[in-house]
Amino acid sequence: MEQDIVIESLPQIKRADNQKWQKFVEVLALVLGVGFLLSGIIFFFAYNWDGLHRFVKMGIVLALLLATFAAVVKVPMRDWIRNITIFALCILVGAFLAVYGQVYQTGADSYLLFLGWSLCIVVWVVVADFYPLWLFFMSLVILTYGLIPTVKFNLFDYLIIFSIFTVFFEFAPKFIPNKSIAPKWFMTLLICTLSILAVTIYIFQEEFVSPVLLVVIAIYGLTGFYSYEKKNLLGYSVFCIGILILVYKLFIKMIGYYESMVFITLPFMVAIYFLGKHIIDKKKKWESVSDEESMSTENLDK
Amino acid sequence: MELTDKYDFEEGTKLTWPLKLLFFFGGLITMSTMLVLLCVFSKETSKFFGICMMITSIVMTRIINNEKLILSVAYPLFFVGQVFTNIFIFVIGNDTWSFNNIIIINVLILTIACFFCRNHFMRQCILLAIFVLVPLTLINKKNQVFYHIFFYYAILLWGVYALTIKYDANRFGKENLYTHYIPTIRFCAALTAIGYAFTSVIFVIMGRIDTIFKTGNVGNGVFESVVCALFTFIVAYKLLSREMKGTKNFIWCIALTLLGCVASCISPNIAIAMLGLVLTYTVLDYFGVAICGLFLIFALSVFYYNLEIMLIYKSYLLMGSGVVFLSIFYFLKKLSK
Repeated sequence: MEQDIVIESLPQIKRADNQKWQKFVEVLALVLGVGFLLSGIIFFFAYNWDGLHRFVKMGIVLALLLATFAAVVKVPMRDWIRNITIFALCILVGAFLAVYGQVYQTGADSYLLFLGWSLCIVVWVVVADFYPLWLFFMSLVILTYGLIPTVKFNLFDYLIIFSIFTVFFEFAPKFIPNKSIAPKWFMTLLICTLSILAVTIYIFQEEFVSPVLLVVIAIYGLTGFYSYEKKNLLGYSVFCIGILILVYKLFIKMIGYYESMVFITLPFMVAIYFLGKHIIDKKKKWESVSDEESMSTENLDK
Repeated sequence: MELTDKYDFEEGTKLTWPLKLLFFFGGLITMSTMLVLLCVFSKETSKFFGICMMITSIVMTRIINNEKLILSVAYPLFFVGQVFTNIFIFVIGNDTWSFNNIIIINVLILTIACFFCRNHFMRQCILLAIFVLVPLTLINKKNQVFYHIFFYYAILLWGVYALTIKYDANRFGKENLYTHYIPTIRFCAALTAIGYAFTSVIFVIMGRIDTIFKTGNVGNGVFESVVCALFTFIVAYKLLSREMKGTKNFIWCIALTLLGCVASCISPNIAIAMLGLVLTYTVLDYFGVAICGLFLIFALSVFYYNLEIMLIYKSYLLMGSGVVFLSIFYFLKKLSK
């Protein structure tokens, strides 16, 4: 039995074949070629930038924008290439706004650039429904909020923004026609970010009980519930690790001096043991449920 | 004496990434509480505590079957014991033992622990620690030479990586311990090689090494570049011979490979990144490909930044390089048809 288990878990031998090597060299040559060419063009314009007329400066960026737009609309291409082209288009919108701000010295606050950028690309983001582009859009929104001069840095605000986005992506497909269901990796990323933010806020919060803390705990509990319901093992594990950290912090807050940490070492080890066992049990249960579901789907198809 | 890994025969479950995360972070928190616990004791009592803790944790891996219990208890116990052992060594060593002697003792202790330990995850962590600490055994405060050792160590690690490709799992029996650690050795070698190559670049940027890696001067860093490029060419030639010998495109492919290797000689960092890319892609190690790719972009950026020419000529050089690579792409497409 011991020998059987050892043989079962031997790592697979993987090798790149002729076709994979060909593709690798082609992709490497293409990426290096495009990267060098674009960098060279950017440096060329950077060197000559001061000498260029303002219309030429904006004209160059606008021409690139229009060319990309024409490519998206007119050129037949695969969906994933179209999505990447739309992504490039959205980035060029930002470049145009930056050049416009520089040429006319508008004196606007930096958050206005990102606000304008987000508003200009929102239609494209919704149309493309490409999740890396959604991530980019979310980062623009968060950056816009963070750069508002009157807003002080507060993790709780970002927790609320992420929560709103998570709720939107979870429920939007039910209410908005043609809105796709967010892929698992995307929702896992959002859930894990929410969990980590909630735990970080709790660690640095001075008060024992406060309305903010109650909201944080509620959001944190919901992330655990969501991971459990969706059978998301990574999200659930992050939630469980967070529980350990929260309990640890609670002990330190309650007792108040470092020597007391003696008393929580052993219970902590026991907690890790039982938590590991719990996650393994959940993994087995969820895997058997998904196997049953896939088998029943195959039977239905037949 | 059994040296193979013990698997959790009660559960029969291999650790997945979420579980590794749980035990890693849980272990870190437990370690921090234990460190505070043991700081309460005086220096006299803590002399042998560290070694006792490490021995206890290794013995636990040998006698206990339950992997969760080992990772909850033995894993944090081992690394706290190591911290305490180092404190003890610093206390008894005072000024007589140099930094590299202390590192040598650490490497020896870790090697012995890795040999006797029977938990897979713990052995992986110990192996990574050994890979990282080995070049630090040659550090000497009196001279600056040790910074060069980081780069040569990175080349050596890629050699180790190549050996794991040559002596892969299919050459050995399934019960051989080495076959179970091939992915771990590759991961540790790739990560440490790129880490140390990156460190040597940072030292150049900080101005610690004035001569050997400065890209503006002809003849400096050439030996390292040539060694990496030669290594890359040998690996590429072996792969091409296996896949394409006898075909009409074989000569063109060899010529392109030679051109690529010669081009990478412009900077030792670019050469080592290319070497890493070729080796990691051979075994479809996507983690290795990703970190080597990122390091290649970094090396190229540092090279062009350090070029002592005007910005306009840099832009011409970049555009020219871009055209050359796009031509190669077009030529390869033609060749494949």
